[in-house]
Amino acid sequence: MRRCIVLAVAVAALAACDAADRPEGTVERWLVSLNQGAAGRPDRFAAEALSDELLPGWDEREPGDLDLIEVGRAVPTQDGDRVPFRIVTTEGEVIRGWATTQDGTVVAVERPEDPSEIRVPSDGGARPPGAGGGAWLLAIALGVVVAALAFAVVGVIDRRATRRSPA
Amino acid sequence: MTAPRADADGSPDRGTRYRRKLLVLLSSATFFEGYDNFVLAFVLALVLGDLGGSESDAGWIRAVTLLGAIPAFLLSAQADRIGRKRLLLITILGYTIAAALTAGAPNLAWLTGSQFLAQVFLGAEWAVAITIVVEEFPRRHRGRALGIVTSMNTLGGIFVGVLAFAGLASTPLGWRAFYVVALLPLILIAIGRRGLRETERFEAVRDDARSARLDHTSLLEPWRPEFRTAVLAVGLVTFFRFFGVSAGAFWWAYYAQQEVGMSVSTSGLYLAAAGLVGAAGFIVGGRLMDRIGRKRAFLLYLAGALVFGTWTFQVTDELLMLPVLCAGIFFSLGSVAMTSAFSTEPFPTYVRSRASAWCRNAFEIPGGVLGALVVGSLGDHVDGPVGSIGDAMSLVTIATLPAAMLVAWRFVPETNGEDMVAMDEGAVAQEARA
Repeated sequence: MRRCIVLAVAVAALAACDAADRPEGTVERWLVSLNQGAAGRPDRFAAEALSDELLPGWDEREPGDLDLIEVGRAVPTQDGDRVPFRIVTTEGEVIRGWATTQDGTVVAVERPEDPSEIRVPSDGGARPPGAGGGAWLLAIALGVVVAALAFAVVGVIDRRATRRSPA
Repeated sequence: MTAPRADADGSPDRGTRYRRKLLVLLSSATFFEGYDNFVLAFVLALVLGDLGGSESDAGWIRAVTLLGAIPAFLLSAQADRIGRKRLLLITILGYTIAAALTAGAPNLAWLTGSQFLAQVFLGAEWAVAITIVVEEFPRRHRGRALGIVTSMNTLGGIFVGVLAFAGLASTPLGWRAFYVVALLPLILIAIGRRGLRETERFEAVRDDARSARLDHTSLLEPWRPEFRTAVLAVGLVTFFRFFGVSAGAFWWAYYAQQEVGMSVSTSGLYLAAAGLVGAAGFIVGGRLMDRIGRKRAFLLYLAGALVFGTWTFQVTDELLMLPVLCAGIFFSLGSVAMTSAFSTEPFPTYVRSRASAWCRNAFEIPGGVLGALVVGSLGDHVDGPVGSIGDAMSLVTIATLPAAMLVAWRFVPETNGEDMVAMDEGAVAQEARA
């Protein structure tokens, strides 16, 4: 029984640690870096031409000019992963589009004529992937283990201290 | 041991008027602790723009500043040697000097050094303020007073937002104006220092010839066998509590903006509103722990923090977010009132400040630093194992808060109505027997 529990925790841990370069994260970092003006160095995530295409004069904008940056779940295509996004400037201008990524770099941006076809989570679109069921099980198991360990450590110290403490 | 003048329940009593005055002075100390903790994060972009610097520099500023907790530990422990009053005045004066140095910073290195210094004095100021409350307020009002003094920390943070909303950053002084405001405590010292007295418990212990046998200076004194379990238990409770709570406070705005799709202005408004409710959490918590006991109140608050803290980071609806966030902040931040009592009340006067310094600086603050780091690493949107800050935050809450509850339930002593005089007498008698 004990082995089964250990195995289940290990499987849950492996399932939880499915780390990879997520296209949603790449697009989000690109947009966040654009929001920091020249200091953000968006060239780390996309060619300068793409940054200019999305936000002309981005290097001269005030940092924090974008009031909202939101990305949705990526859709795999032949050309790469297409990530829906929505940004809102402090003046209220809303920009929606798709950003396509390949190998951790944004390679294309599309701004459809009908912006309503872009659905990010706040519009009811799919959210970028997060913790799987395994991660939740692992957290509960970890909570039990951490609590038991803390309990045991203080218990041992308490017993030793009681023995040494003057009556 | 000299017994100070006492009120009906045997607690020290210098009168309501003096206690009220004391409360104002101590509240201003914790208010500016909260103020300073928020202000740097708030004006960071302006500072980097003015003095020149990158995000990487900002990370270093944050790290070096946090290291101020180490000397703060040594400084706060001095309250058992030089007295609470003197240390409080030193820390307030030291903080205002550090704030003035920050306001006039010509470059990032100067600013970092000044903020490091500010953290040294603020860390010690918080610890000594809590100790004074525990020693100067009657047993039946101690919890309420702790609630008020600790709540000021949150209000200090909100005050930063209010000043920013009022356009302080747009004044000719720019970001520096925020640090000029931080000079206000100096005025309070000028007004309050003459009326401020050493705590009765500290005076009584200092004047008692028998207490000369006690070790008033060693930093390891709280680890004597008779205090060891309490220091370790309270330390672990504060570590696990702050691991989750600090991470939540640090990451909520990011979660709201990047994963829920809230605007910066809306999330700021929510945070201010929830902060006000959170301040009420301290006050209610303070009263509650006088009525039902410290441990029961703490377990109740942490159960609330576990439920609403986890839920807050799973909410994706803007309307639902506000009440859930308010409840989360109410319980998670409000529990500070109880941990402040845990880290001071179980210990006799001669060692109280050092025990409190261990609990806060060796456990609580490292817990806060680690919590934010772990959530950031797990929830990194590009390559984190979880890939979502909201999910990572909820997972960390589930993994850490039960440990704090279990250890508190079993090992932290209940100190509601604890008689400080009897406790000090016991410490002297025990030393005489040893």
